[in-house]
Amino acid sequence: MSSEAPQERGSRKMIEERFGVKAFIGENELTELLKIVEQEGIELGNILVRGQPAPDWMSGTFKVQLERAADPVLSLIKLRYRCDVFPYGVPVINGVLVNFETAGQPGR
Amino acid sequence: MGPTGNSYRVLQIHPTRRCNLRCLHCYSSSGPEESSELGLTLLCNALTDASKEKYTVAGISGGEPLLYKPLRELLEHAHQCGMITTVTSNGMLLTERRLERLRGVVDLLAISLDGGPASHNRMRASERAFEMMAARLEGVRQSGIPFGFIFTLTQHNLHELDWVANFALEQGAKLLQIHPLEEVGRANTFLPGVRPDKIELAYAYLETQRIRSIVGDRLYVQLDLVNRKFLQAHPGHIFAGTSFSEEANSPLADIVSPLVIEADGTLVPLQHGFSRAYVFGNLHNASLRELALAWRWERYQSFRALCERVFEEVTVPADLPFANWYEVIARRAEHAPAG
Repeated sequence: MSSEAPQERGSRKMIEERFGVKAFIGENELTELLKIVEQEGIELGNILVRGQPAPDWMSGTFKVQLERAADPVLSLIKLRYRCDVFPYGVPVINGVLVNFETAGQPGR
Repeated sequence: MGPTGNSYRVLQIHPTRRCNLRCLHCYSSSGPEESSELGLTLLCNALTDASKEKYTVAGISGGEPLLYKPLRELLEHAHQCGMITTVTSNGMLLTERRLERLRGVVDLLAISLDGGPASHNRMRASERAFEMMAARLEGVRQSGIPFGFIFTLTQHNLHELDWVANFALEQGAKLLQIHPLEEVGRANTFLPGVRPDKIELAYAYLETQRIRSIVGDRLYVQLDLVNRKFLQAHPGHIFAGTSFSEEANSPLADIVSPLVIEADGTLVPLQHGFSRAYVFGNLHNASLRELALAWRWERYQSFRALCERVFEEVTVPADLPFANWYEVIARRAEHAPAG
């Protein structure tokens, strides 16, 4: 079996499949989007090593809450989070729906 | 505290490098040509010592753990030590007989899934890998063993994550874990340049959030990346920030997690293949307890110094805020002098 890997970025293929455009949000726009996310206090906590599954889910049920508001200037969705801590002490990151217009450079 | 969190201090065990596959990204370069395996007594003694050092999770990887003959006995012993047990498998060998042997002793079964069927087969170097794995999933559900999928993120496959998440939901998985490819083991030879760069990691973060919002509490989605600002506020999460003297009497699990047993009995911190400059030793020569005592005396200070240096590196403000901490510390460890 060939070990040759496809060359195109997965993110670019994702954008084309989802939005039907050949565009790419570059580093600058990504940075802006992520700043919005960061402002809302999203955290990535525990990280596992390769080959080790995360047993965190076993700590109990968890729920997802989200609300969003449009940001007309950036055509991005402003994200708000609340972080619920469950009885076992495992912090849960609330989900967010991210939907963004591709304001990047076509053809990259 | 450590990167795996307060609740889960992990002893990761590779009892064998024997595997029915020869995956392109295998970090332990496992395959059918490997035949040796660690003895059950050696591993059970290590589990006993590890539990006394407050490790709470025994994660069995490999190789293919299902090819390790005394797997059930190993998992039983981990349970007797009070540890949660996980098994990471390619899923192809999950026959009814094997599932029956795992029932009651596995708390989480993680099955590797590298994308849609074609991508999965390509990564597994097997034209039947997906078909055979998928055919076992009904049996897994029937067994009642909780299971999830581990997806290896590359530079080229983020667009398949949505499909993988849907597949995981349809199949009744409890967990979807996304781990960035690291160019180690066989990946170093067969997948150069395929590890996701910082842009792909940022997209992966956003896509993960999108998927989480859709799946809600039906599926736990784990992304093995860390946020630089989070680390800045929580240095203990990567073994930095506290004083060396404060940890002198701490259980080993407080100062090193994961702790990894490689398939030849070598004990290393954090991940398979970690720099030999920080090795504990070999379990064929001494017990885990003895190796840990010596390591604290001889190597812990330099390991902490390494963690502090890596903390400084990964918390430098950067436009894109994510880091694969394991990759960074592994690289630094290879170049840093021990002692």
